[in-house]
Amino acid sequence: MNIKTLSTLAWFALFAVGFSGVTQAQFQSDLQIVRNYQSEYQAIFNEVKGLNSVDQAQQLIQRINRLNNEFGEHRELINRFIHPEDFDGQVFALREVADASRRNLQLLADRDAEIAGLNTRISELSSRLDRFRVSSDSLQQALDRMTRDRNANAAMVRNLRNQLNQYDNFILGLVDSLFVAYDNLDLTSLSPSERREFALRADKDNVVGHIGRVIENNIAFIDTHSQLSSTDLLKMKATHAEFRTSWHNLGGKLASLYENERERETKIQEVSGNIEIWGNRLNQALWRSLNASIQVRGIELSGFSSPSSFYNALITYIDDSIERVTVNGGSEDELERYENFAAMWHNDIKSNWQEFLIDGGILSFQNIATIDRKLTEWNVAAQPVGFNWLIIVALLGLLVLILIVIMITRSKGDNKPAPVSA
Amino acid sequence: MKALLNSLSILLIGVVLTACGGKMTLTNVNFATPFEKVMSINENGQVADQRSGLTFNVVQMLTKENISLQDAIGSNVHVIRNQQGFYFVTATGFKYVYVMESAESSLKTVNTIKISDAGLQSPAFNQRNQYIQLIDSGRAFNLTRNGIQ
Repeated sequence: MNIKTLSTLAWFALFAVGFSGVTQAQFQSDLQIVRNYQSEYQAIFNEVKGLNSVDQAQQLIQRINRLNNEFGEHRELINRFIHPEDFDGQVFALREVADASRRNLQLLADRDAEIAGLNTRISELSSRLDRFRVSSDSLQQALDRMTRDRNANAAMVRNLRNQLNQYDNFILGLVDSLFVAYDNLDLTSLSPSERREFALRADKDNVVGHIGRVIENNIAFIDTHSQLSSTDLLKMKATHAEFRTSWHNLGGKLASLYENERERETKIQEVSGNIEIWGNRLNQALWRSLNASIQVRGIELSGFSSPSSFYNALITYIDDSIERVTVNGGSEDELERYENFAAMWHNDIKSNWQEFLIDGGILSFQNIATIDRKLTEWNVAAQPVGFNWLIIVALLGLLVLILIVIMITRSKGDNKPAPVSA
Repeated sequence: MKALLNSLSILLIGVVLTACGGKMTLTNVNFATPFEKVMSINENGQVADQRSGLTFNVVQMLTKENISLQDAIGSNVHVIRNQQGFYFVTATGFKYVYVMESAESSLKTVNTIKISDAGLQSPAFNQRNQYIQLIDSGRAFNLTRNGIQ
């Protein structure tokens, strides 16, 4: 057999194999096609129910696409078998369910990432808290010593106050950070077990405990130091206002975490109650101190014990003074009274206390502007300038007249002829 | 007049008789089933389709095919019906496709189509409307009641 014959035979064999392959591929059992479709459909359907990651959902959606591509050309056949259902309807339903699952899983994944971020943040804050725990204990001891030793000198008080400030600011920062972190998390999306986990986490770091400690420290400090300056008290008032706002925000979040946990809910209510007690103690000390600071300058304001009555007392004093000088006219005394009040207003209230009065919600910018305007009015009215000048001008005028009369009289006397001698 | 009346009576009787006992034939009926039925042979040689309720015994066919019942238990019998209403029946190992028509409680063979001397390996019927397609081991045969087209 020569090469030419062999190669011809080889080509024939190749052709035959290829053809049979094509032939084989062309002939499929219709029933088998439908059964293959049903088998794959059922497998996908079962997998949809058990999805637990976004990647899995994505892969399943691609599998549904392949199902559609592979069996789409046989849809008429399949429809006849699965009537009254139909191929397109089944594929559409699978896609919808898979897509909805993917979206839900994505939401869960995003929420898990947020929770992981929050846990990391809490861990960071916890380690900072540990460092402050030590100084918090020493603060407590210092306070106890102060309580026993009432002769503590001003330097010691200042030092203690500075430490308290540092602790207050740290806890304020912690509360705000936690609030921001919790605020970004939709607590309503958490399951009861996840909420419990967060509640335990907050417990572990003793968030509520630290806030409670801040309040106790501040109350103890006010109670043991009756000679605090108005400046100190106003600063504390501003700190209290900040705490109150932060607690109002975070307390609500913690309350929803601690839902149905009686003991913890009670703790939160205690903190809320103590913040009010702290505020009341502060107010009593503050009003006493402000009153004393103002009285020492010889200014007698009507009694005040709240921001509105304090503002009214200032305004009433100025209005009464304006009315008095309007009736009686300006004078040195009135001017002195004005300058005394103005000095207190500009040098004490505006220079030293304005920031704390605003932050503490005692006076507003508008209040301050109104008082400034009335003081200007008082200043003008109190001036004794007009009346005094009139007298001086009148006296000068009289003097000038007298001088003129004298000069005229003298000049007339010089012009008389000299008498004849005997 | 009387003749007319008689003619009318006869006509009336004829109409009534036709309405009561005459045979009606509906034509252009399509009996084609879209898919084959695949039924497993049980220990008695019986096959049954759950969906349509069709049941019959294949022992006679097995005898013709020289296949013992013991060997055939569990094998699949494939059945499809063409547009004209003829049943095409075959099974794994069969050499023939049997074309049958239905009669009262029975199926009568109208044709026996030889396909393979060695016996069919994995036969399957597809409905192709103008014919029934038999596929087996990569081959396809277009069948009518008369045989392979």
